[in-house]
Amino acid sequence: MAIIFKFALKSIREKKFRTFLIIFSIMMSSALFFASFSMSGTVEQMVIDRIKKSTGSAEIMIYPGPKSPSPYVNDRAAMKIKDQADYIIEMIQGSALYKISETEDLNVNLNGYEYDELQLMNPITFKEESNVESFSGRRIIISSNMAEKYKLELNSTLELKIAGLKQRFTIVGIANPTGLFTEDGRTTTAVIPKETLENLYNMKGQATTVYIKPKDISQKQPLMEQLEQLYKRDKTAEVIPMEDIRRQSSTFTIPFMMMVVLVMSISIFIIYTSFKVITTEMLPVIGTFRSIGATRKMTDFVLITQSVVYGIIGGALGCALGVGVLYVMARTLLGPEGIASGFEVKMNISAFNFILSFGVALILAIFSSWVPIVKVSKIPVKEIVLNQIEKTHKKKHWKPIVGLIMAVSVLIIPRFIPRDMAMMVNVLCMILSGVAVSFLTPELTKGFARFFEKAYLYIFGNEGVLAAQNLRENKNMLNNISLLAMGISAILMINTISYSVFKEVANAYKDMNYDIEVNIGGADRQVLSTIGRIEGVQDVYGGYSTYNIELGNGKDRIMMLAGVDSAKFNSYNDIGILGNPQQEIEELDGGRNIIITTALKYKLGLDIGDYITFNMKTGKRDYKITGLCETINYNGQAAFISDKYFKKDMEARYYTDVLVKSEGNIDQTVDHIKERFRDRGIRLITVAEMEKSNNDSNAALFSIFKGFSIMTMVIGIFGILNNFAISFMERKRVLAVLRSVGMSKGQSIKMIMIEALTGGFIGGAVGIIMGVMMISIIPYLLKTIDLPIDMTYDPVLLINGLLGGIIVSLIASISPALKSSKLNIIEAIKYE
Amino acid sequence: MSVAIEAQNLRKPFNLENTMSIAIEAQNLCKSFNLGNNVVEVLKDIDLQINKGEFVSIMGPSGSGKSTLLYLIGGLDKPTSGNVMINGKELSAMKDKEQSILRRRDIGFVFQFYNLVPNLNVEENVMLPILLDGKKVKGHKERLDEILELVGLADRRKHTPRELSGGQQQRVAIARALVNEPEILLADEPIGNLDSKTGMEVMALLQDINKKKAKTIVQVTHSKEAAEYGNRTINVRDGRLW
Ligand SMILES: Nc1ncnc2c1ncn2[C@@H]1O[C@H](COP(=O)(O)OP(=O)(O)OP(=O)(O)O)[C@@H](O)[C@H]1O
Ligand SMILES: [Mg+2]
Repeated sequence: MAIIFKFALKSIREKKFRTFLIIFSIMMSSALFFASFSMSGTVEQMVIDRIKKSTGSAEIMIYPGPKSPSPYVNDRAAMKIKDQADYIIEMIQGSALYKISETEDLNVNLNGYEYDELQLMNPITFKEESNVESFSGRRIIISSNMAEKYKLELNSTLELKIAGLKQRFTIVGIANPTGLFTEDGRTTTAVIPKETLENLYNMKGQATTVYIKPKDISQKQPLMEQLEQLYKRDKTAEVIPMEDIRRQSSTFTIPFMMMVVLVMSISIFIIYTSFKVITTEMLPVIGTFRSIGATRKMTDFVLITQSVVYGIIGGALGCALGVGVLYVMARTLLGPEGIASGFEVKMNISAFNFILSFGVALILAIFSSWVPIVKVSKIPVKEIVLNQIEKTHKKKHWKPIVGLIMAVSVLIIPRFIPRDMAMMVNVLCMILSGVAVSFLTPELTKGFARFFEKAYLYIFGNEGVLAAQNLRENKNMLNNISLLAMGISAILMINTISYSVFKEVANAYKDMNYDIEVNIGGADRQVLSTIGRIEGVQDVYGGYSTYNIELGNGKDRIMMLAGVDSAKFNSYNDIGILGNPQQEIEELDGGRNIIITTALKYKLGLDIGDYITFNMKTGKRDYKITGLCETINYNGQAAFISDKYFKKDMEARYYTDVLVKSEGNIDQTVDHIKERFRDRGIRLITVAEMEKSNNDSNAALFSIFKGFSIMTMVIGIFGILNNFAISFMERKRVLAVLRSVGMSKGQSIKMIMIEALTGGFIGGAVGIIMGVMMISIIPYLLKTIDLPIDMTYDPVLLINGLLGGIIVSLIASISPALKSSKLNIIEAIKYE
Repeated sequence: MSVAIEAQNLRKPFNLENTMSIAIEAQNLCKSFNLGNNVVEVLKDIDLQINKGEFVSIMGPSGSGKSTLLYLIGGLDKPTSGNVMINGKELSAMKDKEQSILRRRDIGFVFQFYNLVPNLNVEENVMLPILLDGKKVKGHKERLDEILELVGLADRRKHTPRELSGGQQQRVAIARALVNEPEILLADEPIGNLDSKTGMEVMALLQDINKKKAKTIVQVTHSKEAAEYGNRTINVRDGRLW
């Protein structure tokens, strides 16, 4: 027994590359699993931390919504629930300009708080302060960063421009860069007494936000409901919208997990093939031991132990690496933008995540090695000892047939699956398409080889024919082709998806035929016409929209419902209305009619002529579907009604969508509008900026996916290197025979390279087939997570896939080819 | 003894006729292996001449260096010193490519353990030397038929080696060695793995080839019976000819 163990350990130690390969693939799988699994928790934590920096311990906030009569709120109504709250705190969100030089202003995020209240809700710690407790009048607290940067000293005077007027303050506190004063490189925060800011803004006794912390956190929901009643026209919300955060972070998790499945399949394949070799190598030893009385269980145990050892090492390394991968992923997702806006990479990992990932590694190792181990243990002792093991494996005729059936069904099924089952079935189809292709690979390879045998005679001469002949039953080459196919299909898939998404995004912004979105409170006709008269503004559009509106069934929600101005809407937005766009839009004015996206039509299972019921401000309202459109804005979850009915049913008073077409320089127009509405808290964003930030956030996500797909390929490449090495060992004898009957060194190098070239080509081709099959399922899959995106194939990508396969294969064959030319013919031939 | 005398007579300078008729010549051939710090001298100063059309049997105890000698003659291994001439051309002076061409055109090699390429069928195995010579396989169909007829495997041409018996495999190996009509056939214990009846069949085949086609044959054998098929026997003991 001990001696079999010794043999097993020796094989772990001696076959260094194989050991490395197995451990590496287990490690990568568990690391990526760990990172993907911990990702949502980490993202959630980062978002929460970011929010808490400015709101501290507050749980509920009340602020004016679009329906509020004024842009202000106050705490008077909330006092009714005073005894249920730890605190009710008013604050004013303002802004100021600090003149750095004649030409440059610094934007200061000016908060108005009562000092005691702020210390209760979100305590400040000071680097320096002087009598800050009596915080009133013209006093200000600034960040240590601002103090250092502009050489501002305690008790000195600071001049700010607020609402267009110069105001002077005394610096009474220089705060440490934590909490509210966290340095994020972009905004600079300062705090002045609330009363002072009230006066400056002329809003006596009012605030912009009311923060509340319930005494009993479990009573938060009922308390919020009470507050909603008290503040009917304003918005009552959780400071940390957990549900939203969770929903968003879970959309990350699904695609990550899909990638993990890919990485795992390639690892399973590698471990499986490696264990086939391991068991074959150990066969004589096992046979000997069994013949002298070791039980089947004992020998199985040794082999399983070996895979467990791999699992433990790989799992431990994987967990460690996983933390690093998670960090990189989180950082990438945040991007420089996220970091600049005050997010910090903070990982939220529990012991459970480690245990689970470690378990995954262990299961992966045992599961993948199980079949070869069981196969070996089933061989009768006699056959092992007498070396009678049937080396010819029975040809499995059912495999290609089943493969073909699977391939066809995978292409057909997703088209006809009802929505509620689509997610699962589509994921299953993707896995099946991999299985189908792997079943078909031997036949495909044979077909290709037969073709190449003919073609190569003309291209490469007889060495080409030989090479093609060698491909026919070469197990290692088949393994290489499978590995290449998996790696290439993964890369192809990811790149195609990201290519398609970028294309779609670009198209979506092309459909916005305006330049600037204006965000201003209390936008009425008056405001609109003011904007229309500003220099550089060619035209302005006002519309209404509401987000996440609930349907009558109280279950589904639509991401965006817009009330449109039929006269202008189409010239501002091309939402891809089917039929005559202008006619369809004008039809909306004729009654409670609605245009929905085709994605919604699919999601809700509705069609033209059907009714949709919304839970609107004024109660349940039925809208008749009169038209369809195709837009991916709001992930395609959008619907459009007439502004007339929107105003009525939603009791909307102010425009929410103010869109501007600019003539001439857009940036100048932006400046002009800003100038005009300087003291009204206006925000503007250009369409170009929106597109950029959208692409940036997509790019971060896709760069992680690409990292995953490259890892898949790297594992695959190591597997291929290993296969070439094994293949060379096994073929030494044949190569020597060929040399003995007159093959020159040059010819043998040429032959091996042609084999590699062909294998690479076939691997690439099979990879493309597999990739295209999987990609064909993606749109259906994306549809189920409400992302209607069509896949666009980039021909360059396909060609690169093919070339990549060939190059990888060629590089991996360099070493065996060189070794073959240095082969000692006699030694290779003499020993069995 | 007789070999040495013959060799003396034949080694006259500028005797064109004589050089032409010598197929294989070894001069001062030495071969040693380094095993760690030990040097094992396997062949010690061997001189040997084999004429065209001869059928020579090399005999000797196990480990005496017979196979090593045959490999050196066939250019599959390099001598430590001395040289081998095939058809008057010195092997060690040749480049790999020339040696390879020699192996595929002028020398046929038959191994004790057949050494067929397992994933190729009988036909493809036999045609290897022609393929490697860059010739069109199609143009040699008749030659293939002829050779398969000769070794009696015409009905097994599509079989792979593992579907053949040992004797059949050995015959495929012989067919492969002969397909390019080489002048010299080197066989290392060609019947060592066969039962005596099949062995004698194979020997008869070799004799036939030697007589009818006037091929030079050198075989290593342990069997007196097999040696009798040839017309001369060389004994090797402790690395020397005896
Ligand atoms: N590669 C090698 N390294 C070291 N020693 C070797 C090597 N090849 C052969 N020898 C030694 O050379 C000697 C001759 O070997 P060779 O194979 O020529 O013997 P042989 O006469 O053919 O024996 P047999 O009849 O058993 O085939 C042996 O002692 C062997 O151990
Ligand atoms: Mg021998």
